[in-house]
Amino acid sequence: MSDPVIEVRDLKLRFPSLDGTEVVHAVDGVSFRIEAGETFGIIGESGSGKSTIGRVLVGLLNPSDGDIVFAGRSRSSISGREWRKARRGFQMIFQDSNAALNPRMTILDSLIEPMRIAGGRSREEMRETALAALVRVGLRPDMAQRYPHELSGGQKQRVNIARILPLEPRLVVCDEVVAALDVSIRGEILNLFRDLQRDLGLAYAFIAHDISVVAQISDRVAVTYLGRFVELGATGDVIERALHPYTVALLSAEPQPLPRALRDDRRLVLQGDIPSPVNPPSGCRFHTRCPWATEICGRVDPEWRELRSGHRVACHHATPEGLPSPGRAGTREMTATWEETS
Amino acid sequence: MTDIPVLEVTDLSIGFGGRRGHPALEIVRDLNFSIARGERVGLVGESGCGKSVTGLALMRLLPFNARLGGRVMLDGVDMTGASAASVRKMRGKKIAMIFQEPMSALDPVFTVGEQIGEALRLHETLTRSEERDRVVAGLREVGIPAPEKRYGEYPHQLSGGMRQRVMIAMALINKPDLIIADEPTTALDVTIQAQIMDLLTRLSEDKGTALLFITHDLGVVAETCQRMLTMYAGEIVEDAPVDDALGAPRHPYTSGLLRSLPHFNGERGDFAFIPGRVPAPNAMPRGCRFAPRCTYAGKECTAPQALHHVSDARRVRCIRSAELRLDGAVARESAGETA
Repeated sequence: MSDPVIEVRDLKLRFPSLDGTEVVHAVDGVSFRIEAGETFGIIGESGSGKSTIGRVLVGLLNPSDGDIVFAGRSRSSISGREWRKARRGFQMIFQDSNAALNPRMTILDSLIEPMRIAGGRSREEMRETALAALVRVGLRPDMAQRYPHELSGGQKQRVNIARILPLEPRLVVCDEVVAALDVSIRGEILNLFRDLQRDLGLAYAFIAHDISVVAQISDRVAVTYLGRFVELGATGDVIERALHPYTVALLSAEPQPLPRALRDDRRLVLQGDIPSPVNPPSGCRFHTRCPWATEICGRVDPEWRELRSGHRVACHHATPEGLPSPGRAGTREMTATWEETS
Repeated sequence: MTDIPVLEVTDLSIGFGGRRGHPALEIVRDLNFSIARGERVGLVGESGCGKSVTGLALMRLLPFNARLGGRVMLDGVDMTGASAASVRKMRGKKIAMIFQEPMSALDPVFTVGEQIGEALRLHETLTRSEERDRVVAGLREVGIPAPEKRYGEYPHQLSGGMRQRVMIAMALINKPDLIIADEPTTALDVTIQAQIMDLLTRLSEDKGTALLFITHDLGVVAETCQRMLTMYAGEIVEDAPVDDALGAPRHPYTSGLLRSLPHFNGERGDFAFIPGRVPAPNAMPRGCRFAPRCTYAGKECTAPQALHHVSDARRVRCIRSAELRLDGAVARESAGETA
């Protein structure tokens, strides 16, 4: 894994608020690389900037600051025309499989549209490629003549996957792609993603709020909070030996579908809501809700440190051994507590 | 008195349409269950299984073209046959509902305090200041900071989690015996969801309020409920204490749902799933409705299935349940090691 498909350097993205008087810091200094053929998971709550990062990766949004590097070239150094061509290699699949398809176009026309925009294929070639893509994602060729409303949610999501295959992407950004699907059929779609990755060497940026899904599909996982990465590492390390208090809280908040005897009954309950990205807290952005927070956390922005091999974290209190017991580090009033869930 | 269940549903069926010679489309049928005082029951199933329609039917909130059959006894009063006026007296006072999307359930042009106060005024005669005190106390009870200030704020000024707390305060203000919560945490982030789950559990325990928790999230049910009803294609297929349902389900559909949940165990194996799709209401199989998707389906499954007791506390709609050994949230082989 020495050849990144894409590298993001100190990405920042700011939006003006509607009346123009305020600035929303949606993404505020994020750097990472996605290797060829890997699945890079991005988890976080709403407003953490995870979808914005995904949109920047495929060129739907332009960074306010920072750069994107791919195939030895950087986004800022090439012309708009070159970028439009290059970004065909970066495709995106969205959460709402229905909204992503034009209700007035047949499935075949929806499949052909991206190829027509890319150009270089005859009508007959496009048709054949489209039908082959449809079969590749596990749908019958006769589905091509149908309209989106005649398909189930799972089938529509398969069509959305089929649409991007003829463009031969190297990276696919999957933004909450199974969130709208019933639990019983999610596995089928996730298996398809995995098979396509194995056969076509695709890299995925897999964005979701559901940790269990991301954990099962990703090689590495990044945890976002208020426009920053707070932790990044191999999936097993992040899930089983989390270094950041926010990751610990996210993991413990996930309800466990297990009988009581098998559940971990201790839960780190965070108080309060996520602060506004218009006015993010000073220092560490998580300090307003963090049980480990001390005086330094409100004052000094924590460094992005590699505490274990390939496992990075932005926290003053994390050590290679993990976090000290909560509260002991704290000199201020606890904002969160470990509670026995009854 | 305490032995009488707060809710008793007998042979409830829910259909829609059915005029000008067309038969009504039956969405839910043969619904039989009860909820004891203070009991927290999870109603789970996938989209389209009829769980939300059931919740609305219990509140008598379905549109005019709905056809209800059977009986819903709430605190000894028959809700299905009651007049609109008496249903209005029950709603809020005896039974209340919390919806998934608090932003659309709250009125944007009234303050939070006015909206909760309205629910109170419908059932009690109070002075303005009494009403205000009660509402502020209600807001404080659901953990809203600075309730006096929030009283005069509009829904858009609150976060999603705070809005859901307002909905809960509104549902609780008349101290109902039963709250129906339809996906109350689905629209919330997971750290906020944890707060709301804890709040609902605590309030239910403190006040003895029964809870019918409608959700597709089995983790939420595991952590908040005592009993779990599993619905599939308009029928209850399993009714069991929650730990039993999760640990050792007796219906293949419950087992399939549990196995479909992602499990991170350090390996990246296959994702489990249930093949096929839920049948459409107008194309239900004659026999077991789950049979076309069931790995265990045999000849006996072509006959309609009855929900039968397999023990005092468990009912299953599967003729083969006695002979099947089904995996739960943890596969049977590894369950022994973990436990």
